Amino acid sequence: MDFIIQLFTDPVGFYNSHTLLVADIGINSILAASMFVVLYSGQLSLASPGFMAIGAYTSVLMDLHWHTPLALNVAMGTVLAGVVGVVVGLPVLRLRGVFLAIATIGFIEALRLGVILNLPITGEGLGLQNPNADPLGGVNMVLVALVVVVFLLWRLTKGRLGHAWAAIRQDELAALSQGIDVARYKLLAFALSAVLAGFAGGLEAHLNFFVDPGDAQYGVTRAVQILTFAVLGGSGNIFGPVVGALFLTTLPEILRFQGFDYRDIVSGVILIAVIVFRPQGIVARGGLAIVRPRWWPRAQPHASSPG
Amino acid sequence: MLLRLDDVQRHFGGVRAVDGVSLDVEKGAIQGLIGPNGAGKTTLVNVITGYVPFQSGRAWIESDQLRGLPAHRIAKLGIARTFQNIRLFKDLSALDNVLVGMHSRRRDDTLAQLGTLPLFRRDQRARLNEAHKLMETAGLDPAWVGSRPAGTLPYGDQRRLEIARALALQPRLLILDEPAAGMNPSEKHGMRELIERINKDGLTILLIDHDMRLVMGVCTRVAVLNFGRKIADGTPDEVSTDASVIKAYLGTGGEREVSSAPGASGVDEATEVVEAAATAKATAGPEIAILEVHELSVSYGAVSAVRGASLRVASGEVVALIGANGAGKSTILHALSGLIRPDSGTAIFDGLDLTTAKSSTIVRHGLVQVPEGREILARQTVLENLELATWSRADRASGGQIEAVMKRFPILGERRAMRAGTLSGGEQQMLAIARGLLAKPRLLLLDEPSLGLAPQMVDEVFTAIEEIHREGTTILLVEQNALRALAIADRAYVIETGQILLSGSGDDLLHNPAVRRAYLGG
Repeated sequence: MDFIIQLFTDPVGFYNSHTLLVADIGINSILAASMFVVLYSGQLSLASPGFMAIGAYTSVLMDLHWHTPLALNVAMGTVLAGVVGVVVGLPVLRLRGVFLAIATIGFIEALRLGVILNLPITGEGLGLQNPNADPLGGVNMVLVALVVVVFLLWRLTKGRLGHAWAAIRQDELAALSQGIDVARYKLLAFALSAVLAGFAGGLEAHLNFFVDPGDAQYGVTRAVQILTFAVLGGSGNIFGPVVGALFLTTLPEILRFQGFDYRDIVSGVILIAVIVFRPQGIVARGGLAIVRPRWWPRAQPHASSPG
Repeated sequence: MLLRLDDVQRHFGGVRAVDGVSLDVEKGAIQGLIGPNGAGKTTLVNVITGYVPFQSGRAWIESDQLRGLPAHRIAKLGIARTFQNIRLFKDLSALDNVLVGMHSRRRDDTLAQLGTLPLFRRDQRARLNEAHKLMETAGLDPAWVGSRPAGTLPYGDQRRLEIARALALQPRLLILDEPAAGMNPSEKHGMRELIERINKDGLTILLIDHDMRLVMGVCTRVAVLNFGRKIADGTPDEVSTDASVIKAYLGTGGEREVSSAPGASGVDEATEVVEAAATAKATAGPEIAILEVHELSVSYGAVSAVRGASLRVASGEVVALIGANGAGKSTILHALSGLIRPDSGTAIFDGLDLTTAKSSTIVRHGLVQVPEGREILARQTVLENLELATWSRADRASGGQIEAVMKRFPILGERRAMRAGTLSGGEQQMLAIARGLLAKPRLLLLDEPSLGLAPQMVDEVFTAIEEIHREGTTILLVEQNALRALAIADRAYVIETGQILLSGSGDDLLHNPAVRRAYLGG
């Protein structure tokens, strides 16, 4: 509880003492944005952690071996993630729904277990030391990046591209009948998602002195975590996943009081409650209205319609 | 010539869905495309619009060749379509649906909108104005409808919105796939006006619909498909009196001559209808009924499918329920089986209230439905399908019973170890009926048992139905193949747009021109 009290009584002190949390929120929000792009165009892709890993390793390795400036490193990681996104997306996007999800899980696990854990240059299973990391200075950069990403995506969803994505999400066949090149726009969304994930990966690597190739970082666990941001917040507009990331990243801190070991359970219950009562997510059309599930008791309509 | 099809073919496995269709659609025309269920109309549309690839043949819109192009390119060439089962972008607002329709002729403004540039704003305002106009053209009030999610609009408005969205493409040809399906008469009238209005503005229309009044009333020319082939093409008058068309729609009465088709006899139709109406009263039904349905009304959400239908079936009868596609026949059966609940009305089967009983209770009480499309388990063997049918039975001593059923349908006995999915359509139908018999029905509901079957298979299925009846099972038969059904029915009810139009003995209705009209309009 101290946590919330401090947020209101001493915001500056709060920011200074919780820099890492704020940075985490920022990174997770950009990842949520990367998830948002694919979901908004109707694709259940879990590939983001893979592109994150590409962004992170590219950026750190360039720094270690070539001593190039940070901006260039992150940019290269971002671009490379985008290129891999196109290469992976071309074959994989023939799949839909849960099959696409499975294929993308295959991609991230193949990348992590097959490539990262086996190459000497990535430190194999031991990870990489990243002595030039700057956790405290990096946080401002992350927040600026987040604002820019959210603004750009918000604008994109309002225009021709966003309309096309929304149409594809709702009904691919109908979208085709309106002259929308479905395959092209899906690939575009997938690649943009990869770019954002690569960008987030590069930024995150700069916040840590150690690049950890673990499952919680670049594996399925992370993928599911990012997906829950979007599920909780809702993927109808860009603010949903960001709010989801904010909430789910902060919640464990709020619940971090003495002798309470059930943080994950509380998160899980909240998630289930949202899925049942508000399947479109917290931030969605309809304001704060709560959707009652079909089986929820409600008043029975009496009169039948005339005729 | 705006649209030209030359020997277009499309087969699915052994099914010749579209089997060499040639068709010319003139600029400015309203061309009708009709045919019984499964005739290949929608497949033909899907081939033209690029959803299903051509097998052979060619097609042009003016000078542009269509074969081999993906669907979105064909849309860009100016062929807009609506879908049989409305495909709106349900969660987008009605306005956004129309805006999406402008996609292909809208400048790529992705970069412009990253800043809120005035140019983008001006374009957007122009687009909004146009979208409002298109909605008004389609008969929608943009102020009321515009911001609501498309999926929440009333059914008729959704149909109209789909047309507005198609118009947003500024197409050369608009293909309407059953735009009036599920509409009530006044909505249908509105749809007819809309079609005529947009045609008057110079748009060529290809109209598919089962409502013959609509098609015959609005189209300048009508083509008829049956089993994937074009069997007639001409003015509505020519087509509706064409013997092969009548045969395709009403079926054949087995050994009966086609010339006995209702309305083809040359008798004064008006008097006959009056007479039929008079006899219909007289034969309103038996005194003691095993099934008694009174003023039954059923709807699917906003779509009203059955409106106050009443019918009676006495023990030992074969009663046919006939009418065109979408008339509400299957819906009545589903309501009787407890699969959907009626809005109002009563249905009593031998003392059991069917409007409230659970469907499992209904089956145990002896009312068994053999569903349209057979619904057999394709991957299980014939024997397994039959064994599963006895699964829920308390007695379970069904081995002998299965043998008895196989004796009744010898072909099933021969194929007992084959997967049901490898059987022919007729054999699958036999299996579905056999499965129904295992539930020991007192009243058997048969839904379109002849659907999609070749003529000789239809004969076999109907022979089987007659035998089952002779053994003492009461049968309520739903059929599109009207003549066939009337030939074996003691009595029949003709249903049109959810209402019982007339009823009478099978023989009376066989010669009643109103039956033909229920199918072919006029």
